[in-house]
Amino acid sequence: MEEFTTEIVGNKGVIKVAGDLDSETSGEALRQAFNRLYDQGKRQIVLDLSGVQIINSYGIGKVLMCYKRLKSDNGVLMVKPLGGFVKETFELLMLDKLLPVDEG
Amino acid sequence: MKQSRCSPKLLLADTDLRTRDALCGPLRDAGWSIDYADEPATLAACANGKFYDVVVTDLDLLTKGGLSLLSKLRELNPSQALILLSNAPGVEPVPECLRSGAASFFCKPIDSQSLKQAISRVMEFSAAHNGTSGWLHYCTQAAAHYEFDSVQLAKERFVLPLIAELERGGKIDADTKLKLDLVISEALTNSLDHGNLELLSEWREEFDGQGIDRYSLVRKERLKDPAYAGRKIFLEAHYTPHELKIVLRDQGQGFLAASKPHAPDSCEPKMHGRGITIMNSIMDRVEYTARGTTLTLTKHLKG
Repeated sequence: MEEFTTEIVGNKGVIKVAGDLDSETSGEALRQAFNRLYDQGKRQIVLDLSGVQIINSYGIGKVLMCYKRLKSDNGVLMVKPLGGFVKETFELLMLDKLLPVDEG
Repeated sequence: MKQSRCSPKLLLADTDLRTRDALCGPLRDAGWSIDYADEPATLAACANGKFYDVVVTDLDLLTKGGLSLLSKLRELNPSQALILLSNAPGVEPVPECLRSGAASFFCKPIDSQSLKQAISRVMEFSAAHNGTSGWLHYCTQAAAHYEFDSVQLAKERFVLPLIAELERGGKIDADTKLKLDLVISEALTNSLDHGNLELLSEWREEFDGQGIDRYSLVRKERLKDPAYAGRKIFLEAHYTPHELKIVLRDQGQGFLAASKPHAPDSCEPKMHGRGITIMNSIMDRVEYTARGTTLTLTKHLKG
């Protein structure tokens, strides 16, 4: 079963996404990693997508689910600086305007 | 590749004596030096001991020898041109050519004149390019057909081999290959989820406290229900040097695409419609027909 690592940095939780976000397996791994941090009370969560080469609409849907859950609880979902095709995809779908970049 | 200046050497591999009798004589008359193999072991032994300008082999014989035989042929002489012959009606030449790196493909019975012309073209190209030929360089038009089972497609990601061949042949760069692979993935997912399984996009927005959405739950159920899971998806890939066209057809009730690309997120983001936006941004044309059960994707290629 695929698993993404999580860590606490200050008051933020960070999810390191490994591999591509384009399948039910990776989507489920993201959901579980998110829940681990959410259940610990973290409401500022950062996605590190530096290891992701491809993200499809399925993966984006999972990212947005994380965004909505945090927003409904006055939290915020952020992303580490993006690159490559993932950055292009985010800009195409205007997600770069939704998810602030965590430079830390 | 060193091209022989004496008699060019050809290895003909086929278990069918009629093929041997039909081809060896005319090819020798044309000035070729011919060796003949009628089983995988002989084919491997011949290839091991000698350099051949061209290997013409029956597909079944090559297949019987397994991938290791093909690998061995490639290892011994990477620039050796390979021509495939097939006896099986309806064999898809495109996937076979791509798998083997063949320069050409013929269905039997084959006349010696056609084979001689193909061999001449292969030799000219190999001499000019000093390396492996590859099927794509000789291909002026081709179509490959695939049929998918819904459950299988839900488990395994399908990668269209032709796209890797387009990159190898210099028709597209690595970035475009990545994007085309993504488009195929998006299109198949749409055909499966919204076509065959009839999942509604708005179900993605209904999720519980654990983040499990209704879409995922219903998807799992319907993949176990023969009424949905028994449906197929058909993919056709049509190649010409100037265009790649992919046609997908599902057996669902129809999937109505958004009439315009996804609108900017002014307030709450929608959880759906992004796949179509991605496809529209990468392909030159995206068309839905037959109530949305048929999707045609077109990408122009540099000639």
